[in-house]
Amino acid sequence: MKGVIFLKLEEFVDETFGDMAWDNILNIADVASDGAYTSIALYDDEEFFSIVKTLCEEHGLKMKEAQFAFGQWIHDKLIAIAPKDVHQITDTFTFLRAVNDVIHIEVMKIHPDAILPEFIFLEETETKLLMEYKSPRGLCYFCEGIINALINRLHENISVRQIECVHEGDARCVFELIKQ
Amino acid sequence: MKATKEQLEKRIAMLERKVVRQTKAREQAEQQLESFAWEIFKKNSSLSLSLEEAQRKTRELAFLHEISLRIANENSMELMILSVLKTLVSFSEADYATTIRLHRGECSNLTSLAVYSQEDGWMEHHPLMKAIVAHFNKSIEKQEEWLSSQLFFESSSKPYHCIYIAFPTGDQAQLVLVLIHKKHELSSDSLYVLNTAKGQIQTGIRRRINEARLNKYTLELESVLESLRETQEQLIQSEKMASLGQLAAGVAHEINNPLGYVRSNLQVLKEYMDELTVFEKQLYALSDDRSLSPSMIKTLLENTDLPLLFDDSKKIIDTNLEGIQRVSEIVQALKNVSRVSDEKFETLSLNQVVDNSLKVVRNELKYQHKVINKLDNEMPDIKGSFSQLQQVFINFFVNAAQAMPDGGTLIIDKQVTNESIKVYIIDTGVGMDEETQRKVFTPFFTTKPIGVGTGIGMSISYAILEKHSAEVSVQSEVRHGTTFTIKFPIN
Repeated sequence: MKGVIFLKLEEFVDETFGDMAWDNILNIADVASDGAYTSIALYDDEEFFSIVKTLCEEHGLKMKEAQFAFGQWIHDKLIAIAPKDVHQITDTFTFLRAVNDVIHIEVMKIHPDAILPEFIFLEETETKLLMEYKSPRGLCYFCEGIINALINRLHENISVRQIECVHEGDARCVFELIKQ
Repeated sequence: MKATKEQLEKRIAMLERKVVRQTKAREQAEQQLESFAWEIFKKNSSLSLSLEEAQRKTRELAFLHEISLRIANENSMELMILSVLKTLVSFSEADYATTIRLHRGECSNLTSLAVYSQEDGWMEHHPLMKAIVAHFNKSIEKQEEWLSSQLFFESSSKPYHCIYIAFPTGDQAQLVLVLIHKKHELSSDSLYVLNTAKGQIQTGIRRRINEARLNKYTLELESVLESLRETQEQLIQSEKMASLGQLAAGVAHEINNPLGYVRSNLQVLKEYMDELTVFEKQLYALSDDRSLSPSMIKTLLENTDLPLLFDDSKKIIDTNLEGIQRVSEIVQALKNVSRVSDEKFETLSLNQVVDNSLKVVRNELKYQHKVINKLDNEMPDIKGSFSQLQQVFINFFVNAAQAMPDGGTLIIDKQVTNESIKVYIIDTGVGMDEETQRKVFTPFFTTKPIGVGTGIGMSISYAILEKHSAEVSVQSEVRHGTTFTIKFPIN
């Protein structure tokens, strides 16, 4: 996983729980990199999960809540560095398609070694979207947090829920988005 | 709230750890940066090399393209070689270039001692050319590959670098292209490219040699064709005379017949003249007699049957005039046939041609055959040779007569449209089977016994009709007869 995610997670923890919290988590998690992250370097995915797990334990959070909150928080940061074209998009369904077709393609140009999730669109009508989230990392709650923040930013009234989830014993993760 | 000492110590420890982490992260980032810088440097170097390579390839491709243009144009061998040489000089950056021709391994037709240089163009350079000629005054065995050697000559202390290639040009001759570098040898890459171009140059040379050969063959063929044309003309004339020879007995009979009765009629006329002379003498004798009486004159007139004499003489003269007219017509028709035809076509009436032809073959047809000629003077004229077409129709009519040995009917019919006149020659003779029909226009094919017919009459008729752009076809049924159809275009 890219170092930038760890730095953003540190920023999130600092803002939410104070800088002592991050130091504390690192001391407990005892990660291989000693928490010395630089944005472009790659780190073991396990470090991320270990830090998030410690965060949950230390602050009485569920894994789902922590990832969701981090997803919501990181949305604005990601938008700030996203390609210009996607800033024009005003609806969630179109934006989610642009994640696959524009944003991830641009990311791969700069970071060819990045491992990115894939969205598989299963069904789409005017009001409903069924989309599979496919990633070896299984960060579906984190993704749900980002989608939630996206809907809020675009001022749409859309409900999001996972109707299938690998963490619930399903074979895949599927999001259902319904416009109210 | 004031922080306790313990809290402050914790905080300091935390900040210390944070500084350690950040320092380590910075060191990592710097290492990463250095590694990136190195990567970029390597990539840039590789890009420069690729660019250089691409430029070299572009230059080579441009050279090969130019060579193929020089070869593909329609220039003569000499001009092509000169333009190829210039392109070679420009690509290889040679100081001098020249061509020499070897024949059986020796320098031949050395008309000029000039060498080409990019700066000065063609110029005389005797010492260099003499050295080149001396160097190459031997057969180059390994052909069609660029070879290199050193060239020594008097006014230079160091040898020049010379690369050359020999192309065979037929008849044990070779054309050698020579490029000379004063200072450096040509790089192996450039030599490789020159070797790529050699195939194109060889193709260009072969093409021009073949074109020259082809031109020679074409000229020879044209001359053969011309002599063939002359032979055909002679053949047409001799076949015509041969067929006239065969018709001669019949024609002689045709002429003899009127001549016979003209002679006997003249004999009778002569007797009548004798009678008239006697009558005149008696009349003179009586005129001296003073006692001439009407009864005496009457007796004299009664003794000489003057009305019969005059009436008969008139008939005899008319018959003779007719006879002479017939002889004259036959002779005229014969003259038309035997005339050596020139190539010029005239406007003519097919009806007249057929009429004249029938006159010549009359004797062949008049006894057992009925002739029905449905042609008339209303038919449009065509362009053609009167005597040649007469030859054709005589040939068809004689064949028709021969196809009806026991008599029959010959019908000459027509069909006129805006574009063409079709003439049908229909006989009720023995007919032809399919094989004979297929071979009917083949030279020297004949169904007649030896000595009858030349076997080339129909093929010559076919050739004459072809010259008139006329199409001829045959339909025949054994024992029922044959129809030849000749379609003449109306101009």
